[in-house]
Amino acid sequence: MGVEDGGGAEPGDAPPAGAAGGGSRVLVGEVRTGLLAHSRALTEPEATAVVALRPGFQVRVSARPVPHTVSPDLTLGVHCPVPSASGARRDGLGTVLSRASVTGGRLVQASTHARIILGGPRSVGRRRPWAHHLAHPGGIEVGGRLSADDLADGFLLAETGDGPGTTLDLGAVCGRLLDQVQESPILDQKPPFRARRTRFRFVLLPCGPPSAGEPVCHSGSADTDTTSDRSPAPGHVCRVGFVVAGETVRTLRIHGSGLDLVSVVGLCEDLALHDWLLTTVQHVVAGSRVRAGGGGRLPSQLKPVIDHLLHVWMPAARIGEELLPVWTGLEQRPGFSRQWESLVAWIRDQLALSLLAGLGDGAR
Amino acid sequence: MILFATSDKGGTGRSVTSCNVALRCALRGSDVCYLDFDFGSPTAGAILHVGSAARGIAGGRGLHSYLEGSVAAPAELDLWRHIERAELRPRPAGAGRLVLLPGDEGGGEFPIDDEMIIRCQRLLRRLAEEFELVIVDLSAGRSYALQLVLEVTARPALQAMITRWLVFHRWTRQHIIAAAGLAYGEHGIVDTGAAKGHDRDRLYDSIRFVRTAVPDPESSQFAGLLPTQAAWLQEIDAELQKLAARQRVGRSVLLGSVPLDPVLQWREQLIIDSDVWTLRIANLETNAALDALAKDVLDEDSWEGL
Repeated sequence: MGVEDGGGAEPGDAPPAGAAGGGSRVLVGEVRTGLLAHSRALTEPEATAVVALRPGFQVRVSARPVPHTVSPDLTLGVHCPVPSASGARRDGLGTVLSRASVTGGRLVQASTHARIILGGPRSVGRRRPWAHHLAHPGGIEVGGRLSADDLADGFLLAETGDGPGTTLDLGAVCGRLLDQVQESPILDQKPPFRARRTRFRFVLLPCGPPSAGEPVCHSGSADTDTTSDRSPAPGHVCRVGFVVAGETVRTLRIHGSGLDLVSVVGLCEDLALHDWLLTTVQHVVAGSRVRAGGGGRLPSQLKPVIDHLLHVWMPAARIGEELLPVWTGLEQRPGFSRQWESLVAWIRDQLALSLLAGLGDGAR
Repeated sequence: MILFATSDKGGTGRSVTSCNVALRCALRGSDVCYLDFDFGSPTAGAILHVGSAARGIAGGRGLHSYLEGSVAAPAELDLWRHIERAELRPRPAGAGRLVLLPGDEGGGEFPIDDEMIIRCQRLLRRLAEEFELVIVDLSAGRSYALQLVLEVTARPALQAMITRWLVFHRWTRQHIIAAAGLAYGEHGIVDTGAAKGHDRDRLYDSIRFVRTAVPDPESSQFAGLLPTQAAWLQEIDAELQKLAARQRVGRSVLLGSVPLDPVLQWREQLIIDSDVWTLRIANLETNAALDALAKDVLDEDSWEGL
């Protein structure tokens, strides 16, 4: 399970202390999750073929605790202004990294991320050649002054990410990759049920005091103070803010230092996957509660959920030790697993009721 | 399922009927999306009571902009939030999603290029992944929009999907002949589709017809007719039935008929229960016909090959 390139090429890519100002690095990314357009779960070789998006590069496969297949990283060159909440136009130049994955042979994800290196005033007018950027895939250098929080707010609060505009749009890159995987000729385009895609946007910022703009976007979020100690220990998460920003948009803001960026992306993919499962099952359950069949009949919409989704829940399966506090915090508030267990229990109760009703019919 | 709504002539009630079908399918619990591919005149927003998109959507994020490549994804309006009819807000319990993809305000017809075909294919495939019913309302006649979707649906990525056609026509001599021509005639759907790589028989089998503004001689509307007029109406109706059968648009490929109704004709609006029961402006028969049409659209049996 090696990391070929990207953030891993610079181990200990610790963002310097001090949230705003020159020289700070911000990881931004988006994960889109959906149901694979296929009538049954893919086998491992099929899943491997679906995400073999770059000839000559290995697809990473893991079998436990759920089958998981990850495409090689795809690099895309970008040269455009980066997002900013204040509307400042700062040009970024570099590359973004994307990858696609299939989990449990059923769920498909695309994720795109970039390390944005905010140069500060000294970098104005200095532009490095493309060769430099290609040697550091996944990095975008920004000329001119732009604070990390301004960038993060601009990225997280962007309305849809698909609108017309000239700023960096990771969502569009990500959505396109997901389309590409779903168009694979291996897939029969007959999913057992319809499910919406979700968008999960994340940023990793340096540790630091909460900025003035932050409480606004944290309203209704699960703020988790994992620790108040800000010593520069390696692998250290200071604060996490998770917001359910709309029916299908979620944002996550992590403040941390010394974290391995590839692991952070992995964490966000895992969170996005479980959030999608929750969102989708909740939608189906809400629908079947309204349209309850009555007489103990199992609402027909529940069957595909039982068949295809219930066994995929495996939170924090591929998360490193230093990032576990993020999951633990989200388990406390809003309580991912708690909600999931309650949904699963309801579905099983419906199943039991329908069984009883069936037995009653048989006896008559 | 991707359902293409088309007609040979304008003014058949194609858009207003398909908007009503979309609403009713969503109320029955299906997730439905409606694409305004009437590029020359993108006014689906007006029928669906969305004031902000009555003539297409402003800001360059509609279907025109998407197909031309200036936005990564077209705007999707959640109609349960945008419909300006109090009876339909908030979203009725048990209803599925109902989403409109409007065209651009001021958008017009445009010639098709290869990039556009790829974008269109990508969009339709993604929507079919998320929605049970994707209704694509095409411009009337042998338009660019028709060419585009016939090209796109012949591509491998969409060949696996269920794509079906509804041809709307009014119940007149001229319209029957025109509708048959659009479906089976020279440069019609089957002809053009086959040239683009569709399986001719499969495409032929996937077309159904909807008769609109059909006068029902039995209905109360015609109660005051003179006996001679009533007899004449019956005679014309029988003649049209024969003509339709000769033109291969007879009962076997008929999905539904919508009666003549002033609310559909003049207001071109969604018909909901309050229009029939409280306001009493729409006819009961129209309501029943639209309900039946929505049910049949989603019913596999009505699409079975002949």
